[in-house]
Amino acid sequence: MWDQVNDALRQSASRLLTGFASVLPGVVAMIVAVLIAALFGWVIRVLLLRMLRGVRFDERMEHLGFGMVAEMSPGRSPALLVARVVFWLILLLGLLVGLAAIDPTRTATLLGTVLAYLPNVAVAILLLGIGAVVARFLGRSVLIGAVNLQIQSAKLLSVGVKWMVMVLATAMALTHLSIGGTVLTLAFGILFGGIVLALSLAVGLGSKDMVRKSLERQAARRDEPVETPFQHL
Amino acid sequence: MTQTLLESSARVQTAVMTADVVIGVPTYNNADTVVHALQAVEAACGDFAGNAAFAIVHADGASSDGTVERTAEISATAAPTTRVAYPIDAVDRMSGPYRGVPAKGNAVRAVFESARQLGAKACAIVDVEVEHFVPGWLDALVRPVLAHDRDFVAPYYARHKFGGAINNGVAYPLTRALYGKRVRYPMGGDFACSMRLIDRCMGERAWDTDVVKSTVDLWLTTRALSDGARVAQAMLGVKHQAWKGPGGDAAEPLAKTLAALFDGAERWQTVWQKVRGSEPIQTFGSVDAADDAPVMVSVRRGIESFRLAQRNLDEIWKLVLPPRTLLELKKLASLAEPAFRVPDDVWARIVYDFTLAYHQRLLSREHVLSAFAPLFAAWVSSFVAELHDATLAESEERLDRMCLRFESEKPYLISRWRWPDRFSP
Repeated sequence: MWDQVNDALRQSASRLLTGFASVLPGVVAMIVAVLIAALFGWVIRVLLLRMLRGVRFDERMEHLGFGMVAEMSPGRSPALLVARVVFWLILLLGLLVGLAAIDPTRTATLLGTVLAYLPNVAVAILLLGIGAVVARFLGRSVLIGAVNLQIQSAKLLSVGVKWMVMVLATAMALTHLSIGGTVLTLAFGILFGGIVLALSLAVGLGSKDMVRKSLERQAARRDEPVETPFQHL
Repeated sequence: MTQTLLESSARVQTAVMTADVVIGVPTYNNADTVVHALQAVEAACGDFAGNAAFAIVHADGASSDGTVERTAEISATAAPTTRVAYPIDAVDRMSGPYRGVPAKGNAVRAVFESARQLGAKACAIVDVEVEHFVPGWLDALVRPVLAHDRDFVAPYYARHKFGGAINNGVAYPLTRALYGKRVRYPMGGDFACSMRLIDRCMGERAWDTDVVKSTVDLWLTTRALSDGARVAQAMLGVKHQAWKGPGGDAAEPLAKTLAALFDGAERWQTVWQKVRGSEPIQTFGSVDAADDAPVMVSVRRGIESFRLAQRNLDEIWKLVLPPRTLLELKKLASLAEPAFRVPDDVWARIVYDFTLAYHQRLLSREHVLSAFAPLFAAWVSSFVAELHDATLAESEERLDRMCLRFESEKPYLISRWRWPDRFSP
């Protein structure tokens, strides 16, 4: 009886040790791969950061109107953000190489899924980028135009236009990533429709007197002699 | 390529074979003024004190208000009249009230083409909205080309001290500082050219650009100055610019003028970077005319417009202007109306900074041009408030001082133009 128990324990321990021994090289390989990736990533990070600071990446981003990126970046430095993202991507790559050493089949499946999803991510990033550029351009156009027309709430109008475009771009990007599904479309429709309805009600009911007075002033102004700020040319 | 259609009317067909001087009158929907303008030109041709054969070329951009039909009322005696059509597209027709004639560049090009076909020695362009010319104006405009070997004759008007704000505040000082010649009205609608200059200009690709189409007068002036052409100016008398549209919004004409100036600075950067100081040019004709018409200027509106912009446009201005200038503008916005003055050095640097922003594309060019308008309003308000009680001579003297400041600040522009990354004031 005890001999049988002893045999069973020995076989179990042997299987465990064999299994562990078969996985151990893979684990060691993964640790080595991660360590090498971390070292390589760190070197790349340092070099990239130095290069980006050399070309005054942060100032250029600010000049190009991507101040929002600086707000979201660690230490308000987009260069640091880029360097960190590159570091983590390299580390992730090292981890995938390490996982492939332990279980090539599952890693290949995982890698295939990730790679198949990558184009969606790329398109979503592109959509966000285009949205940011369009939002900035339209925001500035509205701001300058409104100031030249002497509209007191010029900044509010500009920020409103900018965020409308950004919300639209974000909704498009999320839809492309299949995040949110119909909930997102519904929420966006309700939000947009709500804004338009709120504006209509505000103008139609709340501000009807103000609108009437404004229109009356405009009509009266047409009959007045034009007060030119200056005779040009 | 522009298609020039020479349509000589029957009564002048045989006469218009050759001419020494061609006078172009561009029109577009100018039924109210075309007869007066053509008659004035016709009369001036008759009074010309010299032996020269004239031809008047009426260039019309397919007017729809009967402009062409009205010209039938004119009986040509001193100079035969030829009509040419110049192309004008739908966008140009809708353009704002910068000048009386939209796409004037196309009209001028058509007139130049006609002048070449007629074998002329000189060609003058006359603004159809001119109200009153001094006697002998044609002589002053054309004779420098015919008898004094000048290539380009710019106009010199007798204007109210506050008239021509864009010219006084930006076009004149910047042109003078950049090219080193004191052309008082570089963007006047009336000018004369030698055939030598026309031949050099006609091969340019720039004719098809929006800048030349809308501000051909300024382009020709800077083209002549940068080319080393012999430039003079002629006293033409009183001129009021008629508004074509309602309101007095100067943002659009200002943007077009700035675009032409900045575009020229970019095109001829190798020329103006070598120029230091400025020198006067010869003025032909009598300069004793005076413009007594009242000019309505609203200082308060200009200052309000600037203050609103100062509160709202910081994110745009900080991309164009250095911190020192932004601080000056902040101080300026807090000043009361009687003390509101834009210092000359600050103004000169602002104009230079916007020239640089346009060149370096620090932000969209359209934004650069339109973000300048409130600053210009501030300068006009300051200028008017300061010279409210001044005589014309005093205001000219004040303007001259400002122009000298533009010249002394020019190294700032050159430094930032050459080394944009190294220079941080």
